[in-house]
Amino acid sequence: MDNKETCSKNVDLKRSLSGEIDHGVKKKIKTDDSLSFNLMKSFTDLSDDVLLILLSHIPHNDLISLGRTCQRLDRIVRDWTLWKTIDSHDYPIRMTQLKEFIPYILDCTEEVKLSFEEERLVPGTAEGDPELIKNQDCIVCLAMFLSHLNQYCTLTSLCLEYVTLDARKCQMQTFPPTLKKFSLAHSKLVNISSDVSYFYGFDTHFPNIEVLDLSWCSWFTPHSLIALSKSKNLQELYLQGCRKIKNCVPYTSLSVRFGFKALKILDLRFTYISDSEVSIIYDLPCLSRLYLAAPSPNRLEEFSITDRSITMLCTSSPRLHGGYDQIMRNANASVRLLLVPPAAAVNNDSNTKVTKSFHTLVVTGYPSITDITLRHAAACLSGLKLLDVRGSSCTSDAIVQFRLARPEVTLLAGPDPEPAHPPSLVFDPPSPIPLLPGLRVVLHRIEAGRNHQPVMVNVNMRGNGDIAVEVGRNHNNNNNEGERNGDPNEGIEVDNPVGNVVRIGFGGPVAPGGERQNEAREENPPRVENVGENSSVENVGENSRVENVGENSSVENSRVDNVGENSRVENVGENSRVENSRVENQAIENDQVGHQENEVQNQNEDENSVEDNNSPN
Amino acid sequence: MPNIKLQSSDGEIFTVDFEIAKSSVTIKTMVEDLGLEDEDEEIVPLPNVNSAILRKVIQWATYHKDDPPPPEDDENKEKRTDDISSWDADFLKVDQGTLFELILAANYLDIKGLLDVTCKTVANMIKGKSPEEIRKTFNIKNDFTQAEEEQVRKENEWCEEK
Repeated sequence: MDNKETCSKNVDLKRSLSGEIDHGVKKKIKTDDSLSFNLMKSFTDLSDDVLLILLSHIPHNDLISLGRTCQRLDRIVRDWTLWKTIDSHDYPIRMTQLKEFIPYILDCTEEVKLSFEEERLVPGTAEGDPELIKNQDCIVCLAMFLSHLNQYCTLTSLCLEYVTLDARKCQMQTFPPTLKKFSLAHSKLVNISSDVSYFYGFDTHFPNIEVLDLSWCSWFTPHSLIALSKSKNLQELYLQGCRKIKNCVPYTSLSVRFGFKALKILDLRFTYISDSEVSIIYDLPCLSRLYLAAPSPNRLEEFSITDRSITMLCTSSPRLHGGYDQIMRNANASVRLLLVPPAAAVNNDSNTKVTKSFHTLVVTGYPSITDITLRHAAACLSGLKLLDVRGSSCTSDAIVQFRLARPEVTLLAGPDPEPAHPPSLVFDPPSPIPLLPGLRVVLHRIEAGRNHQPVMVNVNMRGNGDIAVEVGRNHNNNNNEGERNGDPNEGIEVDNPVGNVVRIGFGGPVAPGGERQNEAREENPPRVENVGENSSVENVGENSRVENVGENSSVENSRVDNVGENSRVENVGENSRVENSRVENQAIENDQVGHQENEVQNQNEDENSVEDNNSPN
Repeated sequence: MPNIKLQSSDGEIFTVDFEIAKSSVTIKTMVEDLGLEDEDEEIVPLPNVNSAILRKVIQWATYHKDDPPPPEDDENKEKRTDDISSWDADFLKVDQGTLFELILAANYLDIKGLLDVTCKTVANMIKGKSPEEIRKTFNIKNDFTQAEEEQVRKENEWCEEK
């Protein structure tokens, strides 16, 4: 009983009192969870120190609301320990809410991690249009926020995910120069200057920068690599999902040759990077981790990574070693020559390009990666700790052999991991452009490297909701007569995985005796129709999305995704591809409309011929 | 020393496996400092915890006895409030009074895991609410003067109308 007396002294007066009252007024609460009595503590009964612990678990945007409830909480919420690191990262805020954060940012604040709700942009306006940002207040708020940061803090880490930036009003130089870590992942940049890279002067403005995350920044252009490469301390660069990274051998080569001296981690997953760039990247002196993954849905051979990437990594010049040509026949039935040095010739550390510090190589989703990669990696990458070749064509034998040869390396093999695509890849465009009849796609190339002439593609919606994509070399070729003259038998028909016929017919006369596929394609622009539930027309325009194409359920799964000026039309059959197209949304043009009607007519005719052709096959 | 006796503020005595009781740093330190390891009959008084709450705390500690030790407090940890296990979520379906008592007990007994999960539960009750809604939820009296309110309102008017 002594104990009980001591304890009642310790219990604070208020609590005992309220306990007494509870006992007097209420019945004892008895539950099986055995609350024999309840003192009914409330939020404000907690002492300051306990409240401080509690508040440290609350996201900062909620702390601001909490501080507005009463004076005591306002005082506690302003405690500096709570604002050393500001993290509302998992709880997106509106850009205008930035203003509310300003009073709480103190000179002790070192890290700010915020994520924003995606702001609505005005649909249909072209990129660079000053009207693109509907709410200019966002920009004003951001500017106020940044100027406050610059004035009062020595911020080392700033993360503004999903932010919308105006390149004119919010230049690189407005961000705090003290940053070591900087993330603009998933951001949008409008009013981009065509003359100067947004990152111009990056290295002098951020002398301490070590980590830069620009994942899923569709505005990031490869020429900015050169500006970034000048940063002397930059160690980690995340460019995953930056879909403008493509065909950038010159920029890569310059920046690797003269910069990126401290770069250790490079993430280029889901970009359109190819062997040529990868083989240059290996020249980075400090590189220890390289992440590559096929953009999804893939997969154009032109932007594919093959064994060549890996063999280049093992030797500075494969030709000098008397390499042999390997002929590869891939799923697209196209033939590609690979120059592969014999493993023996490169099994020699002196030839190895990469240093021993290179320990992680992730290259997923590329079927052109084969056993050769494994053999070379085993022989040449002495420092390797992790090799991820999921989604490759490596055989189980080679995998076993690799594991025997290099037991210390973690080898990940198997099917392509479902890439964790943030919504921005597919849903990046904030405002869907409805799929209008006559959406015009100008293609620059059909079958990579073959035909560089601009080609027209018409994406049409039929009465039953199907999408028809038509590819023609130009307007004139798509006229009625051309279509009629085309022999339907010259078309290519391929069953797509769900059993729907994907038909590629050719408008215009066919070259006599021409081969059914390639020859014909050379001579006559193919006409492509994607028919069926799972047909997809992808990558059709800059910042635009076409979704829910018709009310008809048969196109439920059809998508028109847009990946910018180098977009693709996919699922058009195994033997044909359309690459590097550019979209112009010119549905309203008069001549286009007239043209459109013709097309619809043609489709109906063609539909019949599809059926006709199916039965004999 | 397999068992330890804990006495709540209202005098009830709980016999608990020492391994379980050790999840409380306070009890662990107390027992070790006082050299109680060898004595079976010694009673540890916990004057700040009543029997109802102590029973809940013991229930929690028993369920989590095999958990790995919680990571050291990391300043850079992300504030996540959505990683509460379903058992904990069920366990914490209690009235607010009990919840705050549990926070106090977890703080006093220094049980980091329990303190974390109870605080997260409260954080989830606050999440996305306006100041007025928070006042209602926790029965907080608004003691700002009208002038102060007006000041705050003015400051944010420009933001909120958007």
